[in-house]
Amino acid sequence: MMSATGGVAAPIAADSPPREAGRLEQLWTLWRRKTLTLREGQLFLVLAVAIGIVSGLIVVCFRITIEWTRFWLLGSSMHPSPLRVLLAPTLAGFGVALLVMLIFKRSRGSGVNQTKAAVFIFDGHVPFRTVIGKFVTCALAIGSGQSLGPEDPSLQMGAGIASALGRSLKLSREKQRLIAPIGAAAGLAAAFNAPISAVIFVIEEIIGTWSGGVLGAVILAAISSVVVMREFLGSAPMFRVPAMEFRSPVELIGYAVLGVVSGVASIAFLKFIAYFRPRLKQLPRWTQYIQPAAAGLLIGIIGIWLPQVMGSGYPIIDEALHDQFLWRMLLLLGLFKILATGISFVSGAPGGMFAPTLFIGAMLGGAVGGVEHLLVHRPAESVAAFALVGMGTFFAGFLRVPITSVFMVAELSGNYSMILPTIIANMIAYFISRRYQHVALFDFLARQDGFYLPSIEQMREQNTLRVEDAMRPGAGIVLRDGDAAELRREAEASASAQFLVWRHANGWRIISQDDIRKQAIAESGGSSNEEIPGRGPLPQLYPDQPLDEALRLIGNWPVVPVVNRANLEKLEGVLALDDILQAYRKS
Amino acid sequence: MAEGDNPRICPHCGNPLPAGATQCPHCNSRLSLILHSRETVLSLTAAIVIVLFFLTGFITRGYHEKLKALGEQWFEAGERQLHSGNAGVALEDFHTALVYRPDDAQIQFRLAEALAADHRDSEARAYLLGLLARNPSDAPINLALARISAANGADADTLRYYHGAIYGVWPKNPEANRLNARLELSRFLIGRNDTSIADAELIALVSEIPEKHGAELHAQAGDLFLRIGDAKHALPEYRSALTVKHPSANSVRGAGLAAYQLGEYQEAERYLERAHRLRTSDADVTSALVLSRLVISADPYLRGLSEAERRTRAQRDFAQAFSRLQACAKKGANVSTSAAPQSDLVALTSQAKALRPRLTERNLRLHPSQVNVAMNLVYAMENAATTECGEAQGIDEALTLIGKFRQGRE
Repeated sequence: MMSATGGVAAPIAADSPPREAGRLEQLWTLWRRKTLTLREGQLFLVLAVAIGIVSGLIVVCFRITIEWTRFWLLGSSMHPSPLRVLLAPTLAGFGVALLVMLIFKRSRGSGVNQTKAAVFIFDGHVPFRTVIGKFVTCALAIGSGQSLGPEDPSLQMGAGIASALGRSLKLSREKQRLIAPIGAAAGLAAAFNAPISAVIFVIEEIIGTWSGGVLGAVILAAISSVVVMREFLGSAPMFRVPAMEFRSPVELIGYAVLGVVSGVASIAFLKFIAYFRPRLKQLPRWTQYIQPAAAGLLIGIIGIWLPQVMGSGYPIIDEALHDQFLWRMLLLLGLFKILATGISFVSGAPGGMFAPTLFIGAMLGGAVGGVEHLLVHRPAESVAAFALVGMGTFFAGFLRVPITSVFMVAELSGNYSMILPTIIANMIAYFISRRYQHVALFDFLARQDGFYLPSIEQMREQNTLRVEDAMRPGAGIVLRDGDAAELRREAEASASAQFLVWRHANGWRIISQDDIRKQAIAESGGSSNEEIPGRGPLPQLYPDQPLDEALRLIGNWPVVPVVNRANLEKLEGVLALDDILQAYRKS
Repeated sequence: MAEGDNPRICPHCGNPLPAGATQCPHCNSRLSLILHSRETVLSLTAAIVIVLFFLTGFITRGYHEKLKALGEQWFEAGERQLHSGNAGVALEDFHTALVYRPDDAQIQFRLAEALAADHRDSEARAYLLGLLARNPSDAPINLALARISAANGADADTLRYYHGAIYGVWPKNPEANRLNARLELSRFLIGRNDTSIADAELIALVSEIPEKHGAELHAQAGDLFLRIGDAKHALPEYRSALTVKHPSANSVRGAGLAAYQLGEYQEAERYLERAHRLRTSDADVTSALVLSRLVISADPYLRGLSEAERRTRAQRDFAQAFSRLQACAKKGANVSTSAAPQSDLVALTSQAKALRPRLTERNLRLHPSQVNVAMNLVYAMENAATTECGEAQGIDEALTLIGKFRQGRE
């Protein structure tokens, strides 16, 4: 583990020497053990709820702080005066840069990658200072109009809170690693008011595997945080979606076009970030003090004509869903939001990409819907449907989380009627994005920051090797159980040195030629015709078991049987260590 | 990296370990052990959660109050702009108000109205349809949609939404609003020349007009009845409108014209004279008044006339019609090329010449039924002259009208 000073911590013994304890302390300890002590598993679930509650509360405060900051800096109007639009993001950008460079050094970026790095590199350690830094700097950046969102920082704050609690409770290293994603799910769920999407995102992007051990806690934390958030900010979905329905399969052509447009736009956005971010980071250190301010100025200039692109832009998405813009305006907003968000993000201003991604998707979707409405004369409601589907489609193409994107559209809007078009458009955008931008956003961001984190996308698509991929037929090494003479006859006919025998009483056993010879000598010396005991019982494997599980079970046995799950006596094949290694080499 | 290069760090508290120590003095102090026990941490966490809960509640309350205040502030600004005719500015204000109060149906509705006022019908329609989906029986939304549909020529939708407005739920003054919606629907139908449906809607409307404070509605209904030529229903509406202390001049005018169209010339004269005095006179009123007076002066069947006067009028009317017939026949003989009408005129002239000697004062007194015979011939002569020589004027027109209503009544 990296220490605060950058050194390598040398582990020390965890046990403390026996101490003299007073009578009172003895009683306290006894009572504590009897009444309060929780097993780590139970403690973990209690902690998940606590993390959810605290994360929910912090996210509520965070969202309110962003709004208050916006009122103070930009005013309550949706069209602030040009002077404010120019000055607020510029000056706030400078303040944010100072905070990030001097006080909260780990608060840069969106927060997703930092959380992932904490899980994979720092044993789940997210410093609490990062939580405070993220809260302050993101509220200032987003509230002043930087084109960023509050969701990814909420995710990191949740992870930070969880990590702090885990450290305070001195959880095991394994649990410490698991607890950060639990907090991340809680933070994201509260920020999005969407527990299912948050859980799936954390599994899909941060943990990478559907581990049963952590899934329950992740869900518990996400639900707890959403319950708390709804208690304070209301239970309405994030967007008010007008009535819409999927009428005919012919409409899917339009949604397929939307998938292509979103795919192309997401590639452009990804390339922009991939190109400019490392170049701006390479500039002299002093420029990093002014980069967020310069980004703020550029966004302010855009904001004079298009104030909608400033901030997270949720109210504008709502307007797009209610057909409040013509398709040209929607297209313009989508393109300039890509530019504004790209500028904000590459400048190092802290803030998330989720809200801008939804914004861009909604605008591009609405624009495609508007054009389709003009060409095909479909009802005006179709524009809103395209905007809704577009949110998920761009999300799938840009962030490369296809499952999350489908659930998110349904959950954020509370509308499940557009699932089919969403799935189709999302898949098209996702495949286009993968085809032309091989490395996913979070993967190349991590590499640019010097972290070689596992690519969840690759992990997700990795083929799991199973026992059936490595086993070989058991013919020639299986003996029918019988008396020693019978076994000997069969063994003499075989070239194998080891044999497997099934015995009803004690399962599969292994018998070697040596065992058979020894038994023969014993019998020739006058012993009765006894059963050869052999060694066992052997662990038994099944063809569908993952190979790494087989590797753990095989132990020192030269060969183990692979049996049918419905009939343990029936041998499907045999597996030896060499077979496993060969299968891994081939894969 | 050699271990000696880095200070050894306690993995729990992060403090450096003293040289040679195997235990962290910070973590293993009694106080530290108590402070870092799971029970203490969980208790502290619970305490922090409680404090944070109240703090968040306090912050949230302030935030919601601020949002509410901002929503109201921008809504009022929008209302002011909309009333002063600046729909574009009102739109922005309503949009901003909605950001702070997204679920406020009133703001959403006013926003849609502002969109419609700004001629952004498709956007307004989309907004209203969204609102309607949530509350299909909302009458104001139906009415706004009906207006947009009417402006865009979507007749079927217009009728559907107007009926939605008439039978829907009004938050305030449901009766008056329903009547106004039906009145608006009737106007729409009249504008589309769908007079039979409009007549049915108006008949339904007048049956619902309240007894008190309904004068204005009665007058409007009367106007609409009159526009579709239903003077029979128009006149009672105007009569009802005139029962108030200070009736409108328009009601007086309408009543006069309706009575005139129904052949109630005495009543028509009364109303039309009153309208003339109230300076609401126009060409229609003047013409109707003049004709009414002529009819009253020429009609032998007028109630209250003495028999002598009735006979005198019949003689006078006959002379007038015969004179017009002769003039027309003379004129027609010079210009007409068609044989048939001329033969009618000739036949009627012959009949008139035959009848004229019998229309003496004495003969009429002895045979009162001759008045009817004379008047029937008067109508026939006037009609024939009109057919042959064009529209009747003055007293001839009055005689035609008397004949028309007389025959209609019979």
